[in-house]
Amino acid sequence: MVIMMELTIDRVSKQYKNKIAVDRVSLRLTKGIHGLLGANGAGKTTLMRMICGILKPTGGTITLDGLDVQTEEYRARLGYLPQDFGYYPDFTGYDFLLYMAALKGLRRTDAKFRAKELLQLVALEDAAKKKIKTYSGGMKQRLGIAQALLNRPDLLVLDEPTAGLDPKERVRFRNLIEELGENSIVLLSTHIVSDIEHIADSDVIMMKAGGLIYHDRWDGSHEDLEAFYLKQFEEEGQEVS
Amino acid sequence: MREFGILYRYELKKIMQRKIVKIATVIVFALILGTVCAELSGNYYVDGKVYDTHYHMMKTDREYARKLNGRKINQDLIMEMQDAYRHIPENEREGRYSLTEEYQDWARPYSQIYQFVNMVMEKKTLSDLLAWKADENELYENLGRRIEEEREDAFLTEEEKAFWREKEEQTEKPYTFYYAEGYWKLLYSSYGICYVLLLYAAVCLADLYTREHSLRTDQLLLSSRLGKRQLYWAKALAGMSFAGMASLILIALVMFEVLFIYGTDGFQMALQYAGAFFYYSEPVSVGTTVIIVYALILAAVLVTGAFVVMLSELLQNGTAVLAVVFGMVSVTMFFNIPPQMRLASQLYAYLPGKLLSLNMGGAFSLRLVRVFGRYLTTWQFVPLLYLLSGAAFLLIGKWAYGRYQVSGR
Repeated sequence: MVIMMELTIDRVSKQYKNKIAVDRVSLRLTKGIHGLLGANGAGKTTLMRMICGILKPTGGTITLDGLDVQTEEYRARLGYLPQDFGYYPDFTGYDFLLYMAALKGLRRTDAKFRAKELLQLVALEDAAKKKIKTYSGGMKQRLGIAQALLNRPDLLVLDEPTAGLDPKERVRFRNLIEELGENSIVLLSTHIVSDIEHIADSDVIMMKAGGLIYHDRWDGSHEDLEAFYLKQFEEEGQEVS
Repeated sequence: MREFGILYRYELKKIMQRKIVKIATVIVFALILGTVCAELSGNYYVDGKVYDTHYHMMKTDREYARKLNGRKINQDLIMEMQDAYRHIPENEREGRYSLTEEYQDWARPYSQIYQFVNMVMEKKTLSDLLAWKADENELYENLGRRIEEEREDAFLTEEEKAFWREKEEQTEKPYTFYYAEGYWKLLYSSYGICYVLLLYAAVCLADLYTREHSLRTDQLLLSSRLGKRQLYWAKALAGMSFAGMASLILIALVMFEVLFIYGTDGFQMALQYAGAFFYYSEPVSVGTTVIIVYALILAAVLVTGAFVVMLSELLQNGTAVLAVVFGMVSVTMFFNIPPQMRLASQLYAYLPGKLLSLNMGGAFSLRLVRVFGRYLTTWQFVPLLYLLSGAAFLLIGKWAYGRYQVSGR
């Protein structure tokens, strides 16, 4: 059976009293890497929260292969790394992953196997039994990435995932993302343009003031992405592609 | 179900790892276990001089009381008591007669019978009681009259009065005396223990949910497969079972401590023997009453836990939750609704902080509730009420939990 795997965002809006945080955004995302770029306050995090079902849109719908964002089945296929995510200081890294695995509905034996596998993947196996409060910022971020991957998600939403990582870790992370993009929809929000630029064949989505201003595949052949990104924000009234 | 069990264990672990919970547990256990028998420590002073130790006095009284075990409080025993008290010189009877040698040698072994007779006959002084011509029938008639007066004061309906009269006929008279100090001690300590445990439950559970928001773990939880439904129930169950288990362990330790020190005898002593319960015509022993009271404490802790869970989600602020619960429990300590306001005062008596006040307005109120054509006493009705209101609190909490959205920051 061929799994379709398509995230459909249909005229999604979020309004707070007098402020429109996200304005009628429509997207269809399939397998691959989708880089979401935008300045602070552009609406990236709000859009991602709505995609993860933790913030209700004022209007519009979000579905994954026809599954509504508010369903348990949708969340079962989701992996999410929020910006500035929280943790339990007295849990060990391993315990934290087991707890998250339980929340994601993994069986105990699968959870243990997967937790060990991911701790190795994010180079935390030596710190697995240490309390998270002793971890550095980078280690916590890597643990966050590991928890997002526990359920082998079809839809992986990463909000500023490289924050706190050193250059070597960022390169490792990019490679990992590229691999994940082969089988999943990866939506990656960042303000570090090079995070997306260095991932081959990624899709670039740009947001400004709650709306989409650019959405296209970036093959890197015609222009430097950073220069292109800056140009979009300098030119007022840019047409949405 | 297996997933729920794993979540439940993790939620329990999260509660027990919290510093405030550890500190509160140590304080509550030390406070209750350290104070429940504290009156036995130290000395009894008369005119600045040590007269005896409290512990030795208890042991002496216990020994005397045990000698009367199984005796009916009837004509013979009343007269025996009066005769013993008559050894106290007349010129000492209006003062501190308990310091006289005659009291110690003759009267003290009958002090518990004296207290009961004096409570029923309402004599002002020892001389008045000794002047009374002992009459068992008059004693129990007087008791019956006083019970009727209490029923009038409680503004009972005719049906309620008939209910209690029927119960009164089932109580065995004359009462049989047993030394039961351990059970009385447990009974009279229950209000303080209940009060502390209610606050303990509030402290442990106030930020059960709000902590996830302050730690920012809510984003991970709510976006996970089981985070929107099962997690809420796992958390609620973990919180309430933690408070319930901690209370149960504490109650077991308190019972062990008190019964170890005072003794386990006297379980079958009639509840109505005590001045605080003479009006309560239910044919029930003090031992059974202790079990009822501590079961009610557990029920009160659990319903308070459910209430705290609900508030925690509605207010989204652990401090505000604590303030509300402390306020509610404190108000019930100091504020009473006049019995004339029948419905309001009856409902007020069902509040967890009021229920164990062990007076006419609490669990042993004479007011009844008619459920499906049958009258239930307060302590019979309250578990049902708590079950329903606890379920309602949890459902409201679930509704609020489901509406929560991660925004701002």
